[in-house]
Amino acid sequence: MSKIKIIVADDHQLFREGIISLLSKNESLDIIGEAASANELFELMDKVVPHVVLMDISMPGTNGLDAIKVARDKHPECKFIVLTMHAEGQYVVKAVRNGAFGYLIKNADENELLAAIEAVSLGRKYFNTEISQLMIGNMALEGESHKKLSDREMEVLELVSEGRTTKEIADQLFVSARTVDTHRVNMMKKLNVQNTAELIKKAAHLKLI
Amino acid sequence: MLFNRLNIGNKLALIMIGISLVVSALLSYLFYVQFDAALKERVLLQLSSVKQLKIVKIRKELNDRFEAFRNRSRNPNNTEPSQQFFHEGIYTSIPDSVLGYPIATLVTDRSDRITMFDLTHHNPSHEITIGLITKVENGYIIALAEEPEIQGILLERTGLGQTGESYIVGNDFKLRTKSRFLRDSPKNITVMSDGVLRAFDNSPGEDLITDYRGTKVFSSYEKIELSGLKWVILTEINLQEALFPLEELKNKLMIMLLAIIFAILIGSYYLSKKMVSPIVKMEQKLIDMSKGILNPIHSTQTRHDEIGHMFEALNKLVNALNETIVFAGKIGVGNFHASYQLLSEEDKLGQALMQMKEKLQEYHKNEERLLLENQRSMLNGEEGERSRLSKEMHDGLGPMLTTMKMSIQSADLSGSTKNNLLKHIDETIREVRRMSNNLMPSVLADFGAGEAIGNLVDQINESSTIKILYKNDMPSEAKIDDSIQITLYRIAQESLNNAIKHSKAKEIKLSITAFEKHVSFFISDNGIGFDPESNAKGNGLRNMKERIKLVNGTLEINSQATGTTIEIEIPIV
Repeated sequence: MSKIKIIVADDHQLFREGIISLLSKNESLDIIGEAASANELFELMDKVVPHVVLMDISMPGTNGLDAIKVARDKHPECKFIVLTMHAEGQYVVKAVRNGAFGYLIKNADENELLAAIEAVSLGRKYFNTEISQLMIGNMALEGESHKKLSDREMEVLELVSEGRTTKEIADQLFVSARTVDTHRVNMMKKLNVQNTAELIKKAAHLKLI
Repeated sequence: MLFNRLNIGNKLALIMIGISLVVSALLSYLFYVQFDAALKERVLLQLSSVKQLKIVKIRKELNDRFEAFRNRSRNPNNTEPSQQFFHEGIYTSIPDSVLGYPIATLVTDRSDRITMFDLTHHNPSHEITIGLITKVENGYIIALAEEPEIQGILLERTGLGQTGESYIVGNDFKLRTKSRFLRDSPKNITVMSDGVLRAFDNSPGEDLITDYRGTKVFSSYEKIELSGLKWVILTEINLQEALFPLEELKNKLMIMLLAIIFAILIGSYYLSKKMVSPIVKMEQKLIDMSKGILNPIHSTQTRHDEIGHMFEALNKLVNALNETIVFAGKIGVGNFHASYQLLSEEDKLGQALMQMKEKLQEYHKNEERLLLENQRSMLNGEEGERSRLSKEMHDGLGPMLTTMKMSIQSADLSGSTKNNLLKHIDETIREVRRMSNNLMPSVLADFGAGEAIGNLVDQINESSTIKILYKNDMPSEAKIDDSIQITLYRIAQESLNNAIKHSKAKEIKLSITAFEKHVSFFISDNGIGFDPESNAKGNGLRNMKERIKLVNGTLEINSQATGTTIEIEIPIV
């Protein structure tokens, strides 16, 4: 079995050196290059395409997450593992959406790092329990978007059609009465109607409710 | 000039006194002159009539003698002597003298007419004595007669006062009758006064002349000519006595004049004082005004004269100045909405104030803008510094610690020491991450305030009993300025902090909604409320307000005992 070709992209030289010395002890891994920025990575990848890239997020110039998207478009066979200090779900979700196969916090221990590289190189995704939790917590907000109305507008529309008053709706959605009114006005604009009655009629017609 | 140095009251008094003095003096003089003329006329008229009366009487006396003599001459042989004459006789020729009275020298007309001639000076008793002569057939009849009646007639002083006198002067300019004043014999007294001369010159009349005594007298004079007898009769009165009423009048006029002057003096003093008092009042007012005391004049009565108008004008001025002052005061305290109506197109002060207002307004605006810019740049600097520090810790310190961790993992150390060190490093990394997050979460810059607030809420919900419900309706793709993102995040931190610390709420509802042109931030709790006007809770609320102001947002706080809602809207371009 051939060695897994790896590129380490991180703007901290000390960290790169640490990682490389850690990984180079492993016989099955081949560190083919290191990059201090997204552009350096792109240049390297133009010469030789690695199996796995260990990718930092915060780097000067293009950040790691955006770089994944760009590089994956060009080299879909290359797998990316995000190796970062960012432990917030938003980064995880974005990393996944941009095509990352794995997500690790930098203080992960050696074994986990090797496990992730191996899993990813085999085409599996690697997210430990902590990262999965973060991802799920933030994925919940993502949903199929309506063509015409936003999620919140749909909520307001439903409550309006149930005959709730503005105050009740505001209370339920934790927004101000004025915001409910603004939503209502925006919906009327979008559906091209003049008043609330017409709005409900049109929404029913469009099978929005 | 001295006059100009007097005050108006004295000037007025002086003018009034001067005018009235001139008028009354003129009137008195005219009156005096008129009276003088009338008096003289009256005196002369009286003298003339008295003289006329005496002439008539004297002529009668003389005529009586004449008639008696004529009768005698017609009957020359009637020897019965007449009682009219003290001597009568027929002489063949004209004798030189009869009874010691010279005849021939005095008779010039030797015709048969009856001639009378004056013998008074030859009578030792000084009685008026006349001789009569006429030619008859056998010579001349001569009669002598004394005329004491004439003296009596002349001594009658009716209508002649104390110094009145009538006397007769012969053609030798000697007195014929006794003088009232001189004891001398009449024949020794020569009267050559103007009256006598004019009377002999056939121009009788009345006039003021100097009589034989050298005294000024009013005199009426006329010639009596009868059959050769030539006399002048004069009726006179001393000027002094005649004009005594005039003197009296003069004195009375003087007294009256003095009285009038005195009355005018007092009258003009009060009058001028009364006229001047409003002017004095106005002067005081103007002095007050120059000291900056601006009270309108309250006149006890409404006047319609110039002074009344002057007071009105002054009150107008005071009101106008007061308005100007009120305006200036308003500008002074920074009320630039104060309006001011120019008093006229020439209202320089008003114009200057208006200009000042505009300038101040401009300065004020500039200052506010500068202040805002200053605050903004200060805040931006502070936030930038936090962001930089946060990044340094997160992306600099963090990787170094992880590198250290890797070195330790690969180091040749005993198992327990290694684990201990690794544990410490993990804790340090967590702490660094927590500190970085507290300074400024990287999510805020990378995913926006909606996500960052969501993480904040999650953190609080984990560590606190209070329940926070959060709705994030601000997509992370929304292009919203960093400063607004930071503002929203800081507001959320501040308001959540306040609610947790002070409201005693069980539940907090928080939402952030992005619209096309603005972001709405809404937080409500079911706590005990607070007084938004009091700043007792430190500068939390004030910080929020300042941050909102810097991004041109609006803040609405509604706090009651049942809870608080805060609604913030920030425009996004």
